[in-house]
Amino acid sequence: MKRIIVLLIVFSLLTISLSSFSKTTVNFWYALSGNSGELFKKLVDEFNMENSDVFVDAVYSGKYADTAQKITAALASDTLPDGGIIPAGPIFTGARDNYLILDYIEKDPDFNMEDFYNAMWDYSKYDGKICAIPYNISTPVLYYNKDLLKSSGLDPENPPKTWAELLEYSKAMGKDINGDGIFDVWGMNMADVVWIFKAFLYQNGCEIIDAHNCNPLFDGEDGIEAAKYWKRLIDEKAMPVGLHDLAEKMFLAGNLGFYLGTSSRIGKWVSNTQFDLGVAYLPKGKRYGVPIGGAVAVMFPKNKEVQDATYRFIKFIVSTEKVAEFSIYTGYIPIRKSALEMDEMVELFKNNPLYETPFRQLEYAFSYWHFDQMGNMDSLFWEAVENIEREVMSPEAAMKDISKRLKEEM
Amino acid sequence: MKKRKNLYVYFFLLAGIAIVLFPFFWMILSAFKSNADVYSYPPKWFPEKWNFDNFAKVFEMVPFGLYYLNNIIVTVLVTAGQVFISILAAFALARLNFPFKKFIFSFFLTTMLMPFVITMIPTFLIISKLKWIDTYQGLVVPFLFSGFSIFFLTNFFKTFPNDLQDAAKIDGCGYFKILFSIILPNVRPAVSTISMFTFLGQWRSYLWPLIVTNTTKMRTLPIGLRYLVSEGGGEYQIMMAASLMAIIPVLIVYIFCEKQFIKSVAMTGLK
Repeated sequence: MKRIIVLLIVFSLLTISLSSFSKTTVNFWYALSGNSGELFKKLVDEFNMENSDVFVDAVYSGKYADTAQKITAALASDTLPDGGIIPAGPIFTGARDNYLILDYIEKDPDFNMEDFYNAMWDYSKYDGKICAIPYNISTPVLYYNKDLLKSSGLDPENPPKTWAELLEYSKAMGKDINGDGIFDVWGMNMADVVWIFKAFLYQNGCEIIDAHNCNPLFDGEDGIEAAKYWKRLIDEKAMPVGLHDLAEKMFLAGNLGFYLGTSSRIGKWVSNTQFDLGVAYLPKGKRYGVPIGGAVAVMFPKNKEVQDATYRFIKFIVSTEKVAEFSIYTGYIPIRKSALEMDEMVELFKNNPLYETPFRQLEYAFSYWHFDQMGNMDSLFWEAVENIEREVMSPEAAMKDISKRLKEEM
Repeated sequence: MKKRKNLYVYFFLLAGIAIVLFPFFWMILSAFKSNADVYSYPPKWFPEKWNFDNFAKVFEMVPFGLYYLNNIIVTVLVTAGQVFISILAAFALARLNFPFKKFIFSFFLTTMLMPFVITMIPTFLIISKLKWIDTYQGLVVPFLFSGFSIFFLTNFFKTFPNDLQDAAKIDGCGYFKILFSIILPNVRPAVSTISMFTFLGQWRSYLWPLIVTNTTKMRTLPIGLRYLVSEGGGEYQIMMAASLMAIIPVLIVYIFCEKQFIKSVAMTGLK
């Protein structure tokens, strides 16, 4: 009997000591793959090494669209992870009344919100309230082929700074080489049509949407004017009708002067193009402006221990040093201002001056708050651009049409 | 005259082969290219330097062996299970008489009209209630029933002559003996066709395994393949190296089933 009691005591002591050593596991989903996925995995390992009481179990959740499906399924069956890096994060948090991450940020005296760009916070809001922390973010920049500028009699060191110059330079570069009446070299083009279209709207002073009451603003004067500028680019043969899917290939082949596209191409293109590559700010209309794209870090409600651990991990990956490391390796934009002052960053700018442009352009970044019909709005924009380019509708009619339809859906 | 006609036929056949083989050829070449070669313009046929690093990189980035094994386990279980269940169902629907037979058959047919994206979330809810998330059951069980397989086999079983079945019955065969000893050996082409379809479909299945698994140890190949390329595109040479390794079992299965497959297509044509 005595022996049994001793055994029981030893056993209970053992379990107590074991449980005090046991780790909090954080289930974390991430929609980062390839290069970015590899670096993210490295950050997770670092965190797990440094924190003996937490284990972050990071799982790849698929491409952006598939991640959204996976989160939807998890929401429906109540099997959400504890946190994640996911696209359209606010739709899965704020829209469901989960502003957990904001509680943590507000209670944390070390967390310096000021250090993040304002537009980043706008990108992480639903109904005006923060419900995510920006993470892997990119913005569009103007890539240009210096050789082509030179051969067209333009100054390769002075890329266009305004809409008027963009139009003028693009017209100067378009050429029909083989004489079949169709241009073989074009002035400008882009692959992410809707993204760039939204940049134009914003640059012309249009705020696109009032996410407060979900009122479309792009059918106003500024919006229609931007759409008319788009039409002018087509009419004056600065840009081809359609053919946007080919933009990247045309640019790499040396048949395109300006490519307006995501900053994340820089790492891939620097010293890989057969021509002299330049990178500049997107030209300004009434003002400079670049839209934000990418995924955000979110938290889902769990017990306090897990939430605390999840927040600690998110705080770790958005710390200045880690943000700088992530940006330098992947080409995503640093989300914090202080990351630009890091030695590694200064070093990078010295060796690869092309990186500096998009990283500095962030002061002109903008975003509207997330709202439920965001995706629908983007497909409506796509329709409007097609209608304008193919002359199905006048710019004015096209913008009024999609604004009406968006309102109907809401 | 006839010879010349043959020549034309062969010309078109060869052109067809070239079109079909081109993507394979491109995949194989790309698997040995460097990133710069993949993106070079005008496109380069052959890599500047044949490099095998891409294959090593695949194993570095994802637990490729584990994913491979999981894919084999899931695909084999689904194929074997689905074919077995479909054979039994098809036999009952084609050769037996029982109440509501027509209704059940058309009910099975309607499942073919329902795209997977619609049934996905409800299926997921059931699987999660059963606590099958992140298990092999979760990956396999939802695919054991297939309206298409049953429909396909039922039609084949119907062509089997009644007299043979009756003769077997007179000789004292039970239903199972009739099915496995008399009918099955005669419809082997149909069975191997359906096995091949199931195998192919399951081998490349991506969305369901992605949604129903949450840990690396349960993941399958197609998820691993997606992970190799970043969101904006990028390292396609690595993905091609992985794809090259991933299609080997498919080729083996095809070679095994090919003869039977052609026979079944030819027979379907005759009906």
